[in-house]
Amino acid sequence: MNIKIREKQFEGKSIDLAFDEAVKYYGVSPEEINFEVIQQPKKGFLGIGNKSAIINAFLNEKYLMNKLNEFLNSILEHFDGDFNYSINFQGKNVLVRMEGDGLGKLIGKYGRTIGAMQHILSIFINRLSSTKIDVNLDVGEYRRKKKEKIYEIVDNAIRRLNEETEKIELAPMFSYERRIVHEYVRRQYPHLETESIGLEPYRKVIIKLTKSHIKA
Amino acid sequence: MKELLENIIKGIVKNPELVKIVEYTNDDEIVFEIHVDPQDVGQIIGKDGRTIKSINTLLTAAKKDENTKFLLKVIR
Repeated sequence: MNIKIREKQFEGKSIDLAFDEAVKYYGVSPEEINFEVIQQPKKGFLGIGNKSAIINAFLNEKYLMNKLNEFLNSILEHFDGDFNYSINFQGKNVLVRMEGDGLGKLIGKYGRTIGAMQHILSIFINRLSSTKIDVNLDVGEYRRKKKEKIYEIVDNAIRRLNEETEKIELAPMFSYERRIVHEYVRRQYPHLETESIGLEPYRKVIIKLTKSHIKA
Repeated sequence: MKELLENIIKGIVKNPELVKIVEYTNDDEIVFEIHVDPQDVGQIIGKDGRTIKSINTLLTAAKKDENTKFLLKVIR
């Protein structure tokens, strides 16, 4: 699905002129605006039956990308180090990847700084867009490695599940880590159930055999 | 640091032009008083204070001097 921000209709003698109005209104560069034609212009006879062009314009993901780029730059210039990053839009998901020297500070203890940065970027982008957009931040592949580590923990825990041990509690995790567990179990072990219990910051996942499985 | 804080806050509020930040030192702490439009107060603090904590985490990660501590005060 396309991202449509600040949708608005514009009128003009031709589609080009209506588009010029939109550019003037938003005050952004033309490639950051997309539009759909609502009404084709029509020339009547002696001005009778004239129809103007109407377009439905909106800011597109290029606009969001440029804005996010600007915002991220204004934050990163305050960090020591030499990094570069890439921003990728896939539908309603944004993936920000960072590489370079001095990434340790950007990751933080237990990935705390990544989490904070991702949260702030997510608020920033969702303030601009009325469609909910998910932001994912990966610094120096930290997240990817973390994910693999979590898969390993889950695999080991599940091996301990049997007739006597119907459920297993994992250690407390951050919310994004718990989500990784839920998604992984649903995908790899469809016959098992997961649930988060407890209060933050000690909330943890339990993995259990489903009832139907026990009966079978 | 004040500039970084200002960039972040201005990026997440509805009314960036009403953001004002006052900085002062209190013993070994640097205090930032954040003045924003009353309707943006909730946005800055976030659910369970998550946003303001995240902002503090970023400031702490960017600081040059190991011993500085930041205190963020959101003023209504």
